[in-house]
Amino acid sequence: MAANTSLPNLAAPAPETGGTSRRSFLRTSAAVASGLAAMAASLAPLRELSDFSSVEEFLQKHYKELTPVEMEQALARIRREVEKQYGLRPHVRDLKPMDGVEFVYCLNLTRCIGCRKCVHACVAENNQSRSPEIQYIRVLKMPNGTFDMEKGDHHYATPTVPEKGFFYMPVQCHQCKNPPCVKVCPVDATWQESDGITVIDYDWCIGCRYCEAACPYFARRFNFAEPKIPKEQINPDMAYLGNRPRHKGVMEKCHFCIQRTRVGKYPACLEVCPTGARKFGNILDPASEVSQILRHKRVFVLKEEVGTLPRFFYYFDV
Amino acid sequence: MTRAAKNFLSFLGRCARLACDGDWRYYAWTGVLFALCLVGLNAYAKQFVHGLATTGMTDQVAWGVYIANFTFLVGVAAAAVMLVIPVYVYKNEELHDLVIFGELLAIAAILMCLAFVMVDLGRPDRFWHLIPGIGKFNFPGSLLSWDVIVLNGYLALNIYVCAYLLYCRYAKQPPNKWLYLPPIFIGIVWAVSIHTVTAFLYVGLGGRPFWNSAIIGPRFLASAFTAGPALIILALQVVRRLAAHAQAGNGDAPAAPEPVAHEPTADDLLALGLALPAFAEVPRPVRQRLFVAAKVLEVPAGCTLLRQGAPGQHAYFVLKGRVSVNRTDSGRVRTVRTLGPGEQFGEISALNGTPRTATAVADEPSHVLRVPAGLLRELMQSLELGRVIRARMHDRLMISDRALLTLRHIVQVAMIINVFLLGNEVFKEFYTGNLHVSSATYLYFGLHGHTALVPWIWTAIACNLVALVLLLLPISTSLRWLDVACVLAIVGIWIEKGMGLVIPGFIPSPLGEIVEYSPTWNETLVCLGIWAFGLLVYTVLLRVAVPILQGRFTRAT
Amino acid sequence: MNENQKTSAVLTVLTVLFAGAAVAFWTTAGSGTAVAHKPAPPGPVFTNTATVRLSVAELTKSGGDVSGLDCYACHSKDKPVAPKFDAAGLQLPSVAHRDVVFSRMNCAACHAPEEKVELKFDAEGKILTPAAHTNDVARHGRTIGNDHCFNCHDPTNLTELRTAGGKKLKLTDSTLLCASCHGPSYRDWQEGVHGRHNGFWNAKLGTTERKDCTSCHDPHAPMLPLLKPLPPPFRAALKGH
Repeated sequence: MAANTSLPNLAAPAPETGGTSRRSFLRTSAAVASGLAAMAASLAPLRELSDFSSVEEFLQKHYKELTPVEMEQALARIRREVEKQYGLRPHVRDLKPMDGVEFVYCLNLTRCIGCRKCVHACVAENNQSRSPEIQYIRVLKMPNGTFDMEKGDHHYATPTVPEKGFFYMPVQCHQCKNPPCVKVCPVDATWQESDGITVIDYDWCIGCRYCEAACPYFARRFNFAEPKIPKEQINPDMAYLGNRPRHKGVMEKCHFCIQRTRVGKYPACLEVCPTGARKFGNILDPASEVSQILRHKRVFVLKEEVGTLPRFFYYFDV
Repeated sequence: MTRAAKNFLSFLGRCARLACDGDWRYYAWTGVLFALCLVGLNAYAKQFVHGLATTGMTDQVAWGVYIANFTFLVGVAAAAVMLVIPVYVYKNEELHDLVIFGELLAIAAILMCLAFVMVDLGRPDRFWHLIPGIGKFNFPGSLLSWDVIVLNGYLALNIYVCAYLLYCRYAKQPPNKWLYLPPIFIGIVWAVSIHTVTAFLYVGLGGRPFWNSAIIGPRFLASAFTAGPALIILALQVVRRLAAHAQAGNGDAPAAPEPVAHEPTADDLLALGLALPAFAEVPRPVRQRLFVAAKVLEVPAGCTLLRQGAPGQHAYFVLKGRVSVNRTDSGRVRTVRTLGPGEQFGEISALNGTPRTATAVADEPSHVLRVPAGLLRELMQSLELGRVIRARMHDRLMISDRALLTLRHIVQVAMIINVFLLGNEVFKEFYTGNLHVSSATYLYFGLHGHTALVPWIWTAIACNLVALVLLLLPISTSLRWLDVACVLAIVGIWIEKGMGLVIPGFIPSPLGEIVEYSPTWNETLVCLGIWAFGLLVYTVLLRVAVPILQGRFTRAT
Repeated sequence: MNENQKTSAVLTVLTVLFAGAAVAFWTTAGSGTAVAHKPAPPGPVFTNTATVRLSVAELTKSGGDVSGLDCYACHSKDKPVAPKFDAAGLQLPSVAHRDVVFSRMNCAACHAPEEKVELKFDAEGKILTPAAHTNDVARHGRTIGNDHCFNCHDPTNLTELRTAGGKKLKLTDSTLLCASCHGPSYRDWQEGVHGRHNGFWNAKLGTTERKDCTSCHDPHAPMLPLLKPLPPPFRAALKGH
């Protein structure tokens, strides 16, 4: 076993007889064989890997580079996967942004009562994982007189809302004009479309979570495990860049209910808000309610100093 | 061209065989490391199946020990340049051969960095999305894309330089300056860039006030240039011990006639001057000292001048005749080399104080000049003579104490700067009392009752300060205290730059929520596996490099 | 032990170690790791988009039961209605209209369909307000307590409303009555800034539904009722060893 390049004390001793060399060969190969067996056995957990990505998904190009035919193939693949997993045939399409539209969201902090109906409507509409729990919207209960978010309570569970002396501030993705998340993504898996929505290509994201670190508003969510959604609660009305079911290992976030807003509807959070605190529309249309709000109300944005230029404006009525 | 390629491939093949060969210590060490790698691999397989929920990371704390280790190791890799600068810019010959150890450490560290990034990804199978041309690469916008380029480039650079220099040493051909000096100088700039880019990953996030500070970049470099050379100091001592592991010589040589010693005469020195032309430039005072301190030995044939395993304080120059140097390994005696007039032996152990690594026996009646270690050092200060002596020493790889002390000096200065910058940061955070200080408050004092990181950071600060004090005191010129200081510095910086940098950036969350982080067992095992992998890589690289540098593994042998 | 024996020993130990590791890996593979899965919360009960109450206009439009809106079913056209007041000048709610506060509320906005909602009355027939509805007293206004029926209702014609300026309005045009005092809110409401504005933001692609004032505000107790908030986000215990 000793190599000809004999080495000071790092060399195996020279075999004296043929018998010794056979023994040393055996013992070394026993060690090597058991080492290889251990290496193979260490990968045993992979036996449980059932729903890993298909070859098509693995090879799929970036959204912006898909031809219409390839997009149709991707949509067909998604339909198949959803049908297999949830037992229903979804209506998945790729919705393009409308011309002359830039979405803006306004939130009336006088009217928000902190009921969290928006949080759960969003979860239902956008097929978010129930376990582990993903919620795009986070409602902060703030004491009157401060905007220091460290004083906010995320986990209030009072018997009724609103509680005297507090105001409630829901936060979700602001679809910033100068988005730090888009800047830092190494593979361009997230970008901003012409109508202002910052979207994610779930089939391109590598899950590095740099965008999550970059977001100043805690808007982005990561699928730490395979999402669990009860079959009967799936929303079959889906969009490729929106609420189609995601898989573990990728990011997701509020996309202004792209499957609704790009066909002219209001987002789910707005629809369910009992007090009408949420306002949404096209800022390029001077007659829209959001244009009116930006013209007449005293609006402000969160963390303006960070320079993100959010498209989410808060205001007080009284 | 193909002949050169074939030679290189056969070199690689022999390296591979060499790497599989070793004594019981080698097998035990690599075996245990391999087992730990497998434990890590198994833990990662579980993470791959179940997702990153097997870690302690959350939406609020999106990065954990994986990225913390990554950050620390990028610094270690960058610090390899801390050997390159003294050698190639300031022409410090003591460290010359040790550059390779730094670069090999850089290779192992970068491989660990890449492993840590891969295990942190949610979809590692999609890493091909990062390859420019095939995927979609957000360069120059995303700092992560910069990091991908600089890290892989640095890896390629170091692999090239090490492979080239080792191969030249192996093939006993002098390396072509133009093929290794430019990459080495590029490497200096590149090393600084890898760590600056990694720092900018954090600095560039405006929404994270703890990181969005200009001092992070300089702090990264300062702490890297402390921890990296400290690691190298420790590694070199291990290498030195293993490589010069002397065995007591077996079988005494039969009693041989004793040599006759006398003071050097002018003729002797003339003979030395003829044999060693560089001797001519030795200044007069030193030459005077030779008459006093050195002795000329007239040795009959068969006389043993040095014995393997014995201590020694003298170096020898052959004036006349022939001396052969033998080694005894496991009972076999082997002639390492034969020396003629002007050549030297015994200088390494004289300078290091380590036992003799070989036995020197006169083949024929010879005259040798015996020089004490101190006088030898004086001789080596002459430019030309020093170069010649060292050049011959390189064939046998000397890791001198002076080299270690030079590294100590680097660690000392870097640690001073590191602690000074820490002071800057602490002042800036706590003096004004503005709201952006929450993360620092969480780290140093706890926030709203959450104090998980407080013991860690104060331990780190204590380690760093004690290390600094030790490094400033002359007591750390003694290797034992130097090792203590190095270990303290490494531990302190690993904590402070890893968990102490990454986690507080996430706490409190951008919406003011405090969610603490603690790695899970599975996460820890994956980290352990990657560290074992890195150590294994470094061990294997050294296993090949040390014999090449010692001149024992060449194309001829 | 000489070198050879030491190497044998080490290799043997390693072989055993690897074999043991192989067995350990293989047998623990199925156990998985402690993945912190929160059990799914109960299905969303309160995510319906109903408003708090049904206004007269909505009730009429939807063809619901409007029998309760015929005031002259009980009152006579010849005999004027005279509300009673207490010493402080606050109106005493009549026993007959004891459920005026709750009659047009859309209970389903808060209560699940299966829940039985019962009104409780005291001995005199006055309504006992449940704690959750403490704010829902029949007072229109906090300070003065604008609760005189005929501040809004026309005494001469109970099927009509009357502004302070004397203008007569149909019950289904109650929004204009609100606007006669609440100008800024009405202006905002017209622009879509105040109140519920559901359906399509893009009028070309679909209709936008604007709820009128009384769909959310009971004119007899305009303040919106307190709601029970839906559950907070799941707060994981510190994940660790």
